[in-house]
Amino acid sequence: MKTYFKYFRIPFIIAAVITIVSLTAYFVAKSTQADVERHNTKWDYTNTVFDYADKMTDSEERALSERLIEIEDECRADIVFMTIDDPSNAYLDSVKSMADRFSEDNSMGYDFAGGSAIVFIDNWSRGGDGGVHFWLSTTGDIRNRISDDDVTDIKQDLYDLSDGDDPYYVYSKLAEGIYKKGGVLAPPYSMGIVLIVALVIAIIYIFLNWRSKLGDVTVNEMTYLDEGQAKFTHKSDTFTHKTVTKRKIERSSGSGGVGGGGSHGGGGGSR
Amino acid sequence: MIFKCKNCGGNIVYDPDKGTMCCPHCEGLDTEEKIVSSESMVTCVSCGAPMDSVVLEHTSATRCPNCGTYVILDERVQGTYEPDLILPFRVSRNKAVDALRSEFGRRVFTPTGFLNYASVSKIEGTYVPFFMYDYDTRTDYYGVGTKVRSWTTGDYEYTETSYYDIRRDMDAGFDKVPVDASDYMDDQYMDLLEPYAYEGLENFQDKYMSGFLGEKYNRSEEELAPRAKKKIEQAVEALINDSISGYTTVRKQSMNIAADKIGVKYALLPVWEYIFRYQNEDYKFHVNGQTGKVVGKTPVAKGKVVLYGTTVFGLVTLVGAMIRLLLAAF
Repeated sequence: MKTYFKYFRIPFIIAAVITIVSLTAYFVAKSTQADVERHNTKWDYTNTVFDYADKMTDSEERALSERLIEIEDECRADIVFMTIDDPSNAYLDSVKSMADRFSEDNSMGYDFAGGSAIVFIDNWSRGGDGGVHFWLSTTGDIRNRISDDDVTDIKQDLYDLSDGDDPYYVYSKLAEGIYKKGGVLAPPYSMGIVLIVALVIAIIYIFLNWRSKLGDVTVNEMTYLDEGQAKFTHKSDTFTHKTVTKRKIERSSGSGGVGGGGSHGGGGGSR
Repeated sequence: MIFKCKNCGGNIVYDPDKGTMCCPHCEGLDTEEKIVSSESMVTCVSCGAPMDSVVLEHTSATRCPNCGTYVILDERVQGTYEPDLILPFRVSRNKAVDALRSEFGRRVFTPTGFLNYASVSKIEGTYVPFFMYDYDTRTDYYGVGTKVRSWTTGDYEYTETSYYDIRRDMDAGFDKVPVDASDYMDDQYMDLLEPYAYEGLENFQDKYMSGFLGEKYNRSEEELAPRAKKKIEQAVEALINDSISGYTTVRKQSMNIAADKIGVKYALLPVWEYIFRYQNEDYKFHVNGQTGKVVGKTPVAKGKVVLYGTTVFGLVTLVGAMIRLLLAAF
C-alpha cells in the first residue's frame, strides 16, 4: 500500500484541492441563491401541469409537477406545462399566441407579476395542415438564460412524439432541458458524461500500462547517419493543378419551427 | 586462454566499475598474465577439467564448471573469428541490477517486490557478436501531395484541393549499423538494446573478455547484410518523410534506394542477460552493458490492475463531478 499511496499522492492532493474549492464555491453560491425569494403572490406557482388533453396518468402528472416546482426554484421562473385538444386553435400561430397570453393573463412571474415565466402548450388536435402544434414561450429574465436557440435545442424530442409514445417521458426530458439551460446552479454537463469519461480514461490508463512491452525504441533515422545529416541533391515541390468542388449545405429546419419575438421568446413547431 | 594474477595466481577479470583488469582475490590492478592454452579447447586451461557441457558450437568465452575460471577459447577469437572491435562492459553486475530495479519501479503493474520474490536462474554478462555495416545510399523519391482548404459562401461549401509533385534526391551515408550475429540472442531484444555509444569502441583486446561469456559470430556478414539493409531503408524513408511537410495528404508514387555496402566490422558488444523465475514462469531480461538500458517483459499483477484502474476511475469521476459543481457555481 505504501507504493500505492506514493504513486497516487499527487493525484490525491490535486483531487482534494479541487474538491474543497468546488464544494466551497458551490455551497457559497447556493446559500446566496437561497436568499432570493419569490415575491409574486398573484399566481400560485404550484400550478404547473394542466393536462387537459389527458395524455398522462395522475401519478405522472404529480411527478412532473413536483419536478417542475423544483425547477422553478432552480430557474427562478414560474413554469406551466399544458396539453390541450383544441381544434379551434390547431395552428402554430394560435398555440404561440395562447402560450404568450397565458403568462400575461394569469400574472405569472417568479420575481413579480409579468416577470420570469415559461409556458409550454402542446395542442394534440391536428389542424387543417395535418400537424400537431406546440409552443414554449419564455418571458422576463429567464430569456437571458434560455435563448431562443436554447429552446430550439431542448424541444427536439417533441417533434417525434406520437400517439403511441410516452408523453410523460418526453415532457420530463423537456423539463430537464429547461433546468439544464436555465437553472441558476445547473451543472453544464451530466454525471453520465462524467462517468463515461472516467471509464474511458481508466481503460486507456490500464491499456497503456498493461501492454507488456519489451522496451522503448531508442534509435531513429538519425542514429547511424554519417556526419549527422543527409544531403539532398534535389528537392522540389511543384504545383501541378487544383480542383474545386462545391456542396450544398443542408440546413435542418425542423417541421415548421419558428422563433419568438417581442416581449416573449421561445419557439415551437409542428409534428 | 585465461588471465592469471601475477601476484596471487588467481583468475583476473575485467572490472567495468574500475575500467581495468582486477584480481578479485588480492585486488591487484593490471597484474594480469595471459596463459595461452596448449590443450584442446574443451579442457580448462586452469584445472584441466572437461568443459564439453559449457562449450557450445559458437562459444568463445565461458566459465569452467569445475573451478569457475573464465576461459577464452583462443581459436574462436583469432584468425577469421578475431573481432575488429570490442565495446568493453561499462555497467557492472550491481549496476545492472539497479537498472532492473529502477525499470521495474516504473512499470506500474509489475508485482510489488518482483525482484525480491523472483529467483534468478541465470545472470551472465555476455559479449554478443555483431556485424557493423557502413552503407552509402542514393535515393530518388517521387510523391504527390495535396493541400486542402474549405470555405463557405451562401448555402454552399467549397473545397479546393491543390496537387503538388514532390521530388527528393538524397545522398546519405550510414555508419556502423549493428546487426547481431547470434542465433541464441533474440533479434527483437538486441534491436531494442540499441543504441550503443560508439565512442567507447576499441580495437579488439582479448583481456576485456575475461570475466564474461562470449560467442563468435554464428552467421556470416553476407547472410546478415539484408537485415542491415532493411534498417537502412527504413531510416532513409523516415529521412525523406521528415523533409516533406505542409501537406494535407502525401501519397508515395515511387522510391528507389541504391545502397552500396562500403565496409563491415566484426564487433563484440556487451549485454547482461538475466532470467528470473517467478510463479513457475521464466522472465528474460537484457541490459545494455554500456548504457544500462533494460529490455524485457515483466509479469502483470492483476490485483494491481483492478486497484489502480479503479482508483483512476474514482479520481476522474470525483474531479469531473467537482468541476461540474464549480462551473455550476459560477
